[in-house]
Amino acid sequence: MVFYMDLVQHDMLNDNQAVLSYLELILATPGVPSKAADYARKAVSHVRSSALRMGNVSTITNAMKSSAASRGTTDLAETLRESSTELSSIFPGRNIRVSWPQQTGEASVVGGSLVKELVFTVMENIVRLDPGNDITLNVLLSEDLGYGNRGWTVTIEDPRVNLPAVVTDADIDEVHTKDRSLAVKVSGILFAKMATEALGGDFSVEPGSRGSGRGAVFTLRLRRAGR
Amino acid sequence: MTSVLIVDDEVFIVELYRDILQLRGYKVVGTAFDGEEALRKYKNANDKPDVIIMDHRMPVMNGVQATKEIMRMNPRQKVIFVSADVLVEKEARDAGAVEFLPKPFRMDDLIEKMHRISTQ
Repeated sequence: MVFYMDLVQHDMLNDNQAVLSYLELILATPGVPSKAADYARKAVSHVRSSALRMGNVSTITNAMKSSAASRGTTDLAETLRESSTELSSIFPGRNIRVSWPQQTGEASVVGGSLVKELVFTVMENIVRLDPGNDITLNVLLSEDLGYGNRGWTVTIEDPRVNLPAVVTDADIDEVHTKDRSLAVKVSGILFAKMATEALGGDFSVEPGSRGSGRGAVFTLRLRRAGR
Repeated sequence: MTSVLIVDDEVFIVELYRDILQLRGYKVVGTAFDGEEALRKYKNANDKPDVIIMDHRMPVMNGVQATKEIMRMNPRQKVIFVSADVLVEKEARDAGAVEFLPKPFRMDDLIEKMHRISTQ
């Protein structure tokens, strides 16, 4: 079954690559009517969301087969910068601002491209759950001294995200047993939890601090490379 | 003009890369549908391509193995590894790939990497 899923996902990602790239070629063609370009941009957005979900499945299916260390390292600071830029392109028509006032230098962590997928997936899922058109994500990256000085911590706060309470009230792993209709809205968060743990780190979600019933803080703790 | 060898077992992916690269002014000097064919074409080429775009999961010989063999022949060869298997990134880089792009990637990401490599 795992083998079959792997084959199907691989083929689907190849097909998505072709759809995505040909849409981009259409958009790059001079003289495309603006309405057609809008439709194409929306199609690009959905292809990329779909590819992200399929990539998540493929990644988790394979994550247990190799050690975290064998996946290489990546610069978490650079990953956050790239993901922030990427977000706007996947949600055309939404005004997304990533506020990251205290940017650090290199923050090398274990995980290679899995970390990039992880960070981007969390951000993408947060934006999907935010009902607004003007979205602000507050990001903080810090050395994790309380983690045996072995890691880096990223917190991402969205003060307006409409996160189902079941995610913060229960163990994230059990969300699907509580309410499947809600679980599908947080598949990226479920992925983040599984992927972070596969990398030897941890992931948590806390409700927003403003008491409005909205908003949440997402925390990823990842292992520093070379430790 | 930067020359490129495209290696991927899916014909439609090879055609897609060719469309993108030619549109952006790159010269596609060859295509191969598995690692062994890529090696053979690389060995026989009088002018080596500036860049090789390499898939991983291919019949006969996979991309990591083909990259290793090519790097043995020419340690300065630039290889961009492109794969739907993100977990193969470290293997690909250890084999000698200078860049790794997970599928599906944005056209601009490929072009940006091509540009960066070809101006190094």
